[in-house]
Amino acid sequence: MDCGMDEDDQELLDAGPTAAPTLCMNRKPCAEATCSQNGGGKSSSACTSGRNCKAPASSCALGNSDAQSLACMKCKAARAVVLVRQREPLCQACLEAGVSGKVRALKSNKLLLPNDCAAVAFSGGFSSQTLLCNLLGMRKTATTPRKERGKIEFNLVVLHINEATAHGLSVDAADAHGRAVQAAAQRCGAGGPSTAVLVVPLSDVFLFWEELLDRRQNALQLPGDAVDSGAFRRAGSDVAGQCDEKAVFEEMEAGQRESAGVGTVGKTGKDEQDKQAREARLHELLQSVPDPTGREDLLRHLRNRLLAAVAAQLGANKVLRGDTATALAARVISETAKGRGYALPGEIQLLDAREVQWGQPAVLQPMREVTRKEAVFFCRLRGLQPVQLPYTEASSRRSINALATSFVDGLQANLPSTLFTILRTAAALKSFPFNALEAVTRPNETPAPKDTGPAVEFGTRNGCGQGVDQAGTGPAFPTTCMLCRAPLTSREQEVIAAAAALVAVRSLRIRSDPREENGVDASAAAELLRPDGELVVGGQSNRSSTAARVATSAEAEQREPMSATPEEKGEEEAHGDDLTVPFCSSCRSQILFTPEQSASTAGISTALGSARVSREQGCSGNAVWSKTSPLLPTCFRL
Amino acid sequence: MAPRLCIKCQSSKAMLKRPKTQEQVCRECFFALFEEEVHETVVQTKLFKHGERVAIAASGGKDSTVLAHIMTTLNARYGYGLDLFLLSIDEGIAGYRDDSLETVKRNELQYGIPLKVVSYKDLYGWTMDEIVAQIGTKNNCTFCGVFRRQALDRGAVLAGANKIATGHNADDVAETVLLNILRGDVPRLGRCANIITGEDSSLPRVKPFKYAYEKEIVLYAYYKKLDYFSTECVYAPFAARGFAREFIKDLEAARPMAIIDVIRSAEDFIFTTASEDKLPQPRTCERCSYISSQPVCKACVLLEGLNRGLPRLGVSRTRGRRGEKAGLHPDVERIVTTQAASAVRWTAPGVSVDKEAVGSSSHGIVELAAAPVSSSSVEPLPAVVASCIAQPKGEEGCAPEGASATALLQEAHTGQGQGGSAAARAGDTVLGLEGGHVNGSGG
Repeated sequence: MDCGMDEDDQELLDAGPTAAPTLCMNRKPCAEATCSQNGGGKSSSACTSGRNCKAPASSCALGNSDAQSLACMKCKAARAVVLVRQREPLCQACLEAGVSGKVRALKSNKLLLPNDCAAVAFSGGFSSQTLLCNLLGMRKTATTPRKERGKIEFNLVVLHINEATAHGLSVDAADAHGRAVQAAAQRCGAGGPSTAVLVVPLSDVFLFWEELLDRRQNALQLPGDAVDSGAFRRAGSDVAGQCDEKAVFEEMEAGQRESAGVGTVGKTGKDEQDKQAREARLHELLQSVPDPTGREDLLRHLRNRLLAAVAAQLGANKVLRGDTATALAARVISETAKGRGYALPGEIQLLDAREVQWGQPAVLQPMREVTRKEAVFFCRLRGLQPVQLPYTEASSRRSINALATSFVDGLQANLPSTLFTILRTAAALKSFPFNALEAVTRPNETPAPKDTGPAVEFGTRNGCGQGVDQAGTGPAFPTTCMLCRAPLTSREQEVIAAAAALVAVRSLRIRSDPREENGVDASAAAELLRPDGELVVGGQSNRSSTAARVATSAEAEQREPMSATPEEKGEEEAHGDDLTVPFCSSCRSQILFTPEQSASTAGISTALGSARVSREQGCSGNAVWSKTSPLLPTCFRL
Repeated sequence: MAPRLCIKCQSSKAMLKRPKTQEQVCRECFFALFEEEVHETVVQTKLFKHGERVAIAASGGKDSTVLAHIMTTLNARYGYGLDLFLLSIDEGIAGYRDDSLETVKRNELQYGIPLKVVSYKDLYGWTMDEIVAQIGTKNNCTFCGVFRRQALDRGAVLAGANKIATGHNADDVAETVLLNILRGDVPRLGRCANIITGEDSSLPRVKPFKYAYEKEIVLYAYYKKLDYFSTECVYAPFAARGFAREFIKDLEAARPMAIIDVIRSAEDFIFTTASEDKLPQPRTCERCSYISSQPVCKACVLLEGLNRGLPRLGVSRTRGRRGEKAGLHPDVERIVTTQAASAVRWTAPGVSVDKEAVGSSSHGIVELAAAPVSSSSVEPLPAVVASCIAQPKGEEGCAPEGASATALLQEAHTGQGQGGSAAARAGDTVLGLEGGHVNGSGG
């Protein structure tokens, strides 16, 4: 490998301080055995072992004596400064070459094409900094010397979702955090007119709320017609502006300076109020989830939703995320522990185009082959400091995500192959059609954003039709959970379809259907589901809301003695929950309707029963059951 | 504060909080719920057919005791029409199995179902204590696990059973899922969460407790005052497989439903077809006719190692040139045919016990994944097993001919080094992905 591969970092690095690293202080336990040994960062003397190494000596993984005696394993010339894998001492250039080679897989897979517009999800951590640096290195700009080859001319925008307030920071501290992240991105080389850096508060997710939810609802009911949904139209019209126009960015940046949300252009004073309201709403929403794991997951899902929405509005057709191999291995474990085994393979692939048909960008994970350790040393050797939220929440120790991370880290420390073994196992799982490279790659096509009825095209594509589970879904892509976008299993779809059909039937009988789209389907659904005696009972929910609630709880009590096989636990907590909304069972039971005391009942029949009453009250009927999380249903009200 | 009432019956005082659902229930409701859940599992998964003869693998531990209790109860209550009997394996571990066997014998009377005991000594000519004396406490669990699963099958076949019910609980299954992910064993990962397994054995094995939490089983046994044996295997402390177990417990603490969620995930896993192809086709062991994925089953390989004083045989990564087990010449003459050999061995009365993987966590995986081992110390000189005559050939495991058994023993013992040591280490720990791999492939 060519160790002299250029990295256009020189002038940018100078901006960054090369202070002592504070690696192991972050919220995730340090994954690197070596860095925890050396990570004290007490020494401030500059490292003398590598050519370009600007980091303090202590950040070099090798001891001084070793470092001086070992040559880089790859180029055999420079002195090795890091040991990211066992018995593989590398110099900085070779480390960077290795990392950038992996990120460059984007190009060889044709996932990053000229004139693409890529939004980098930038958290400010090690891996997103590494990703950003490498992407900038791949990019051809006006100033790129002509002789340099292999570069792509794509547009890049750096997006940071500022969730500081969600972690309990004050607004001021959150702003400071946002600025710090912005500065970090600039140290990596972003910034300026060619690469905008946007910081979007997480609460802005509410700006996209309606359309996000609406779209899903339509998706389930009318998969074929969903292209007409609001989100699509809006995103589409923005995309039409083409992302390579600077105007979009400038407008966005301007909007940001006014501290307004990304999605709306409004009066400043009112914006401020709205923003506060959104913050409050976000706070409320998160607080309503009692389970720490559920809260973290909710936060993550919101972040991803917002990322996609903002990126779509900016006209980006790709979102690049910095999830490292280490993070993905931990996610394999944690998702397994959350009962998301079905959706898991969709989340760990290089490409995730499940949202493309809705006019949203495809998600790429170019760092999935890079270990966290590599990313850490990549940053350290360049003197890049991570920007991290002060993580104060003690309850995170109880979270499954944290447990899985430390579990994988612990194993990895003893047996360095653990990480890759886990990923290899996960790779044996069948991924979804939306993970196939063809899902976005169309070499003969102009690199315009994929905004023209992709759903139709995918339907005709060979291979894409071989979804794991096509029942009741659109032609190409499976129906996904409204919150986390996990593809729904057939079991979940059955429950939802049955509930929807039942609601439709009832609405016919009652003639008080609050939802138009269901009304349209009602007759068809009624035929699907012959109204029997039980269904007719649904009429009782026509009474006042109080009475209906009483009925709900009474029914719930009746159902309780019925026990169920535990494999159906996922649906069990559905009491009072609007079953027609396409949530996956994990989201339902772990985030949305965390049961205070769950009952053991399950099965479609039960689901039907509970849908019967609760539906009429909108989601407010949930309060009967999920006492601990009454807010969520309100927030998710359609 | 008034005592909290059971949320089910709303009349009696709540006695406990169900570990699985966190519901506060009274004792009677807990019993009812627990039994009903098992019943639901049995019914919904169509675990049994009317009139089947089912061997309950009984070790005397909590899981198998509760299993025996529940199965007899449900069989009577719901008229499953099953012909139940207890099947125990006697590994020959002094201070552990002899005592737990006593428990099973009492169970036999308590539940009024017959007991059959099969012992390693009769089947293989070795007790675990003897095996440990020879090979030490390193890989002993491999032997025990491999032998036990075969012994269970044979015992059940001998007793005319149609199915074997084991006491694996949800924790065991979740742990197995996790271990298979960690060791990259895709074929096993695909089937370890099935409630009916046994592609690799002559009888189907069923796990009525697949969704029952270990804690609830303990509570059930405790409140029902069941007579069970709670001592851990004397060799268990040497079986370092706690990692996954610990993690599962952490998960449960963080979110009680996580155990079920792990199982549900495993059920939902869909593998690429390529990985399914790798599943070895079941065939018959050339030596003992037991079902095996290899020409010679794992038990025969291990046994040969024991009898020839090559305890590493079959434990460390060994694969012959033609995919045969190392040390076993593929062309070796088979002096004793399986039928004869097994017939002879079967004469033993049985005395032994075990729910093969018995609840004790450490063995939970045995059946499903690779085998931990335990063994003990005693006279190293093995009983003769008719079948082994193979010429030594092959890799590390092979001893020069004529070397005395004891010398070999020592050699093998001390100098497990070289190729063996890595795998040896690996085989014993959760981390030992490579070694574990091999262990797991046994028949």
